[in-house]
Amino acid sequence: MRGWWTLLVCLIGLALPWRLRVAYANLLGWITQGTYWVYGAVMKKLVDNLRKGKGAPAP
Amino acid sequence: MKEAAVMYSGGTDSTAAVILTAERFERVHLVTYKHSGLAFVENSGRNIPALRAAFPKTEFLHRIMDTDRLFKLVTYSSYVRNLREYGLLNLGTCGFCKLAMHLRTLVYCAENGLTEVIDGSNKNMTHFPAQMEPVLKELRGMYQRFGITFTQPVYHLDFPEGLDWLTKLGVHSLAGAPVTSEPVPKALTTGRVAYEKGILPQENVKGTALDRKMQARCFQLTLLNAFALGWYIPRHGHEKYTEVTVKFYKEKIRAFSDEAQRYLEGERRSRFAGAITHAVDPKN
Repeated sequence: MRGWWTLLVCLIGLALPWRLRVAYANLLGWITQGTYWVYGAVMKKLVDNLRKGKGAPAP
Repeated sequence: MKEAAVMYSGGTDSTAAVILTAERFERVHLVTYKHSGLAFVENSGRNIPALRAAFPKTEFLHRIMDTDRLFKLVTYSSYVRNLREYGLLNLGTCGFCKLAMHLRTLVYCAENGLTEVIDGSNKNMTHFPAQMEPVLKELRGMYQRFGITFTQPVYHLDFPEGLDWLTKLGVHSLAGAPVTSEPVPKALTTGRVAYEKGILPQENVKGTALDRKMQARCFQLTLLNAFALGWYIPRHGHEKYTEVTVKFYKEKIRAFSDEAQRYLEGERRSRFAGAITHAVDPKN
């Protein structure tokens, strides 16, 4: 299913003229970046709590 | 005077390429490009004072040129035909961007009498069209046609380890992963080259805040990643992806190489000529 969403994202990109394609790529880029930031923040919180629980030092 | 042009983003790879070659030249032209969607291009100048200090006998000229129209032309030339023949490969944004940069560099070298071009391509970015060895071979052929030598001094260097988020967060040590008693041999990475020359404060800066302050930021690669990593490679495999990409880029490189030839022979009415002329930034 995820693959078909990816295909849709790609087909929209293919159909766009230059300026719109640049804006579209930027939008996708910020969405991806935002997802990674949230993922990173959640992971960091989890790891910090686990480390605190184990009494291990930070890396 | 012995001179060379280095395609310089300001990042670790192109900085290492400068470090490994600067002593051979009296003057190095650090050519950086800007286009739509690329932000913070001025970051590319961050390591230049350190390079000047490390190589006092070499003169460094930093040129920032605009490749926006050229990038657009490379992307959309024969678009309908290419859509029919190559489909989603027309989303290979980073490859077209790099080809536009190479074409601009070629013209810059021809107009300034330079016969050497260097860049920071490396073998580790396997889905980036312009970093695939067969595409690089074709690019070397393109430059050779104009009497220019194109080299990639950092192509075979190692990729730094520990770049993934889980390693950075220290998950492996937290999980009690075994520590090997054997000393791990230090990889020769571009970061290490720059660190040992005193240009970077640490060996591994890729993905750090410093890395982001050293070079421009571009999100156009999300389209390449979506089509290549999210769709094409999982379905057809890396080998097929490389094969089709190489075929597509060979066609593009040969067509635009002819365009460059006509431009350098004096043709000024073509769209290529318009894109090149537009690329001259009067501020630089």
